[in-house]
Amino acid sequence: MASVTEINSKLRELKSRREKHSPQDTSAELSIILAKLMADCDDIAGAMISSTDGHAQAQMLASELDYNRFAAMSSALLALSDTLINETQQGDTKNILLESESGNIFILHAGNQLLLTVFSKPESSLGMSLAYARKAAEEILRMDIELP
Amino acid sequence: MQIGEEKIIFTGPVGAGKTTAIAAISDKPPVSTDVDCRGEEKKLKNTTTVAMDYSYIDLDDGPRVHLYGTPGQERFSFMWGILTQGGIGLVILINNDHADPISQMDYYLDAFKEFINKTSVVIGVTRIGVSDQASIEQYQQRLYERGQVFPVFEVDGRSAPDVKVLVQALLSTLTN
Amino acid sequence: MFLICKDMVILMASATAKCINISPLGLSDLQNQVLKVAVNLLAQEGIEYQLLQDNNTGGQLLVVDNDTDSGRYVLTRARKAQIKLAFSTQPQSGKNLVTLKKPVRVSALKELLGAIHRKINRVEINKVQPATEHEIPSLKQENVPLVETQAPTQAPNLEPTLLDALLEAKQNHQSLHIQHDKLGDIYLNSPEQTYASSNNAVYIDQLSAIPFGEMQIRIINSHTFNQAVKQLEIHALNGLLWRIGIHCSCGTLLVGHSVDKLIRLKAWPNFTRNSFNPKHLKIAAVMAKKPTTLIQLKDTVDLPLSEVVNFYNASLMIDLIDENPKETLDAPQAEKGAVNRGLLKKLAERLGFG
Repeated sequence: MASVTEINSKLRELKSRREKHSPQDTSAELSIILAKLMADCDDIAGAMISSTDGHAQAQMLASELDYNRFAAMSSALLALSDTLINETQQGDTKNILLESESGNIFILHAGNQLLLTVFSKPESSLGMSLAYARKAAEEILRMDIELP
Repeated sequence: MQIGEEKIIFTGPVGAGKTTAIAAISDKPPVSTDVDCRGEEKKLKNTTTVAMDYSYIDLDDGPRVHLYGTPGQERFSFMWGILTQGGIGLVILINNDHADPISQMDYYLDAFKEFINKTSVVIGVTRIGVSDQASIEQYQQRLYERGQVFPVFEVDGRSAPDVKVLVQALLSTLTN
Repeated sequence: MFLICKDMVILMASATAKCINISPLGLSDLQNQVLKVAVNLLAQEGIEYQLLQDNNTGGQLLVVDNDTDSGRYVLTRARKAQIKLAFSTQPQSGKNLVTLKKPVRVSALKELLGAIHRKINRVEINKVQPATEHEIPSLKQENVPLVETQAPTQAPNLEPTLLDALLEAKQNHQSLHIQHDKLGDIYLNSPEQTYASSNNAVYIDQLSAIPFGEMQIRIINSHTFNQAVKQLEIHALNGLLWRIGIHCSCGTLLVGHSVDKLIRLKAWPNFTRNSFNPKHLKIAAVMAKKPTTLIQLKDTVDLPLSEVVNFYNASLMIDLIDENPKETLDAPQAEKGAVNRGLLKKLAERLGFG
């Protein structure tokens, strides 16, 4: 039979795991990932993590941008992209690249329920931004977040 | 879209049966961009359309009629303008099992006002048998109060005959 | 016939006076004989009337006995434009209504009919353009524009039908029991908007084959209704009224309604739950668009008037007709010019309707 100490320790661990995944904590943790991403890579001007059904979870974007709207658009684009790839090839989207004169946007999966949208500066290295974005996406994946 | 082809757009709130209705009358099962719902919306439905549903009807001698379903939630309203571009008419499906479904009808009639003014609209009310939130007469009355005499029919979204009658009424308003 | 004087052409009123149709309805044998004699005497004086037969209700002049049920009923249902001559023991008043005190004598009737004839024709003569003094009209009268008075485009219906009875009961919030050997018992509850039938499936086509006069109809109260329908399935009344309107009208307009009056559809029938055919979609689309008369409607949709009348009756029975339409209501407008009709027609066929 497990000792009281062991049980209490287990309970604390479970409690902390639950607390860790409370919405506020989840958002905070995701924000940390975004902050780290932008600190690591100068080419990245902004980033957002959102759910596949179009809700923003964490964002670091220029203040005039409507991140709720972006969250919906990103999820629509990614869903369409997945559908197209499924119809024509195999598998899911690795990433979507939108190139414009003012910069580029990447959208990529970050686990089953989340996606990462990254805004990179014009004339930045596509490869570099994408590499960092992928890294951040993997970190999010490892968090194994289960949205309510 | 090629010249001579047309498209009809299905819209309405989450859970009204847009995807089902398109599937009921199209030649192929619709392509859809459904994802799992989260949070409050999960109570309404397990999945939701985030971009669009798409299928078509191929007519004899070739021309194709495209059928598009829009996402229901307002945050995807940017898709509504994209999808209605070049469309010939709108089908609004309303779930009668919602709180205040008549206001929902008001909402979509207002949201698509410009498109409706250029083309036409019909309204299908689903789940009337299941719920008595409102009766067809009440929908008719509200339309009359709005000064808009559009067809409003009770439909079962899974029923091909029902959806066909709805679309046929839309065509009638376009050709008469 | 024209009398041509030196400088003038005078149009002789009597030469262009029209023959007027009389509809004698529900008169006694004696009254009919008196009427016939009076008409013949007037004919000898050049005042032309024609007596319509077989209860034809299309005459410009209706002649009835106001002291009978049928006579009074006819008076309430006649078109406003028709002149009504009522034989009565009491004077009556009403638009275009003339009373002749009973017992009716040939001389009095003849005089009255003569006056009526002149009055009707004076109205018509005023519409005729007299020839100017510089025109010498030919004997063929081609140069004389003669304005025809508008004959009714459909004889107004004065014979009540099952539909009239149902509509009246509905408007008066009365419940009815209709009975006939061939169709069993039908119970209608207007306040509750329900009905039930001992047949459980009311055979609508049988209804139209049974003369209205043969049906037993009585007004019942809600208690009687509830007792009678205990073992029966209850249905929404509008479903029955719609089907009766469509299948039992046989092209006859409900009494008191006109094919020349502007009306509009105020809501589309719920076609997915009521029997319909594709022509109804066409009629509804036009009727919802803007105010129209049934005559205009039949031309626009290119369908027989009977189809349009059946639809109108059915819609009226379930409160979908706006009898005083405002022009400003919106309805979906056909796309101005850009509709691909060919493709839409093909789509319609593909969806299973012609």
